[in-house]
Amino acid sequence: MNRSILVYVGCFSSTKQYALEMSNRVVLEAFDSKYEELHVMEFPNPACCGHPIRSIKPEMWLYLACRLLAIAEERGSDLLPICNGCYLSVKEAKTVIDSNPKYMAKINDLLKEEGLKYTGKTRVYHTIEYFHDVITPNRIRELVGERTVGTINVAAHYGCHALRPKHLPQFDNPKNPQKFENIIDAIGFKSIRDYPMKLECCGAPLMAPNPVLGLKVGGAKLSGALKSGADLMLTTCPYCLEMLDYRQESISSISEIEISMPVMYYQQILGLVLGFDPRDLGLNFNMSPVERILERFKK
Amino acid sequence: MTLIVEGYFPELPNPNVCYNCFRCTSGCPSAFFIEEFRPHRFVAKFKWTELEEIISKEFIWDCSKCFKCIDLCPQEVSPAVVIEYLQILVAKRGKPIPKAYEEMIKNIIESGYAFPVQEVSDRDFETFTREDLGLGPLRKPSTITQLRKILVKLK
Repeated sequence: MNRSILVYVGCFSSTKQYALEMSNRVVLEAFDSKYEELHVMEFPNPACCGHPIRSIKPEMWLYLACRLLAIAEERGSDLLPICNGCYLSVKEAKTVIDSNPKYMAKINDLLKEEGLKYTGKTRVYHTIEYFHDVITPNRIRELVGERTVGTINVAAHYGCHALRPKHLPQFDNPKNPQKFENIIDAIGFKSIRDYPMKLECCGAPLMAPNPVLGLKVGGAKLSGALKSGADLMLTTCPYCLEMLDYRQESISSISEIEISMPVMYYQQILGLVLGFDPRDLGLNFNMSPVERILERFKK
Repeated sequence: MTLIVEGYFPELPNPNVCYNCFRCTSGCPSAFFIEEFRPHRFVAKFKWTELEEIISKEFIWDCSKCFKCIDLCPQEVSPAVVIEYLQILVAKRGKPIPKAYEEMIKNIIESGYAFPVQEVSDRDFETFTREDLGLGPLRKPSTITQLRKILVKLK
């Protein structure tokens, strides 16, 4: 039997970006019920992964990230954090403690109080990696079947924490990743494999210390996608989506050019193609002009 | 130094080998918009100046943590890690940190989550809770009492 995977939603999507939790659940359930070897399960006993406070309280960060690894290990499962921040947090913590017996021992001392133990068995997946390497483009094509809405040109936004820093274990080439594009093409769309600013930051982490700077960085990112002629921008990260979709109007108001680009989660567009109701995918919460894309799905 | 500052940076990248080639700054999204934010300069200062002086004089919070500079550096100096090290130092010295971070620390200790649960508006200005959306109430960590104790210890 294959190992099960625990879906860890993370603070931001659990408390605000509900569309990610909704669309991810709907889509993964669809795959899980058709392919029984997948074993997708909800993460038990969730708490923050520590990422938002890593540069202030590194000890708290490491503990919070490691407890997620330990909980997955206790269940004999692997871990799928569906947010880029959580993904990097857990992957980096794993790298630090798996290679450092002294810190592994210190963390385990603390984990004992929660009745947990970590020995290094948990594997961490990124959402794009999970769709590409575990579900696979073939199964995506199979589940999508004959459904088609014609060509949609897509700019894929990986988000910084999916593939940087490059010295940590990576699921794709950090200098020129292609797996997101592959799973977008598997839906029947046309990804723009190379566009200006493809690997640039969305600006979201700057919203805490310097919002205006964050909006400028987000504007530069969206301008690159616009220039490429994309009809739609996709991401899997809730911080990136909030920045590029929800804050698009604010970004546009401080930009030299008008920015108008539909932005969605990969799970939302995949859900649409699979025939789910836009509201069940949380698409009424997207603030960018997604109606342009939704019109294509009206029969 | 405590557990992690030691452990998280087991090999704090050696700033002395920095060429000052500016590759970090040339690719930095914050540097593109803010003239005073220059990653290579933080590294240079790290080499030559007392850390206490840097953290009292420089504004070090405009790093977007995109980590491009880590990947761009030919000398593996990792300016973002140097900057993060300085941020940690500021927090450890009890100097002021951006308010948003203080809030998040408080929230995590209180509820296990970095942010309070919100009602959100959709495109038609209709508001929804998690329950309205069929997501159920926010799940409390089942070991919150023990977790709180551990986090207070690490604070």
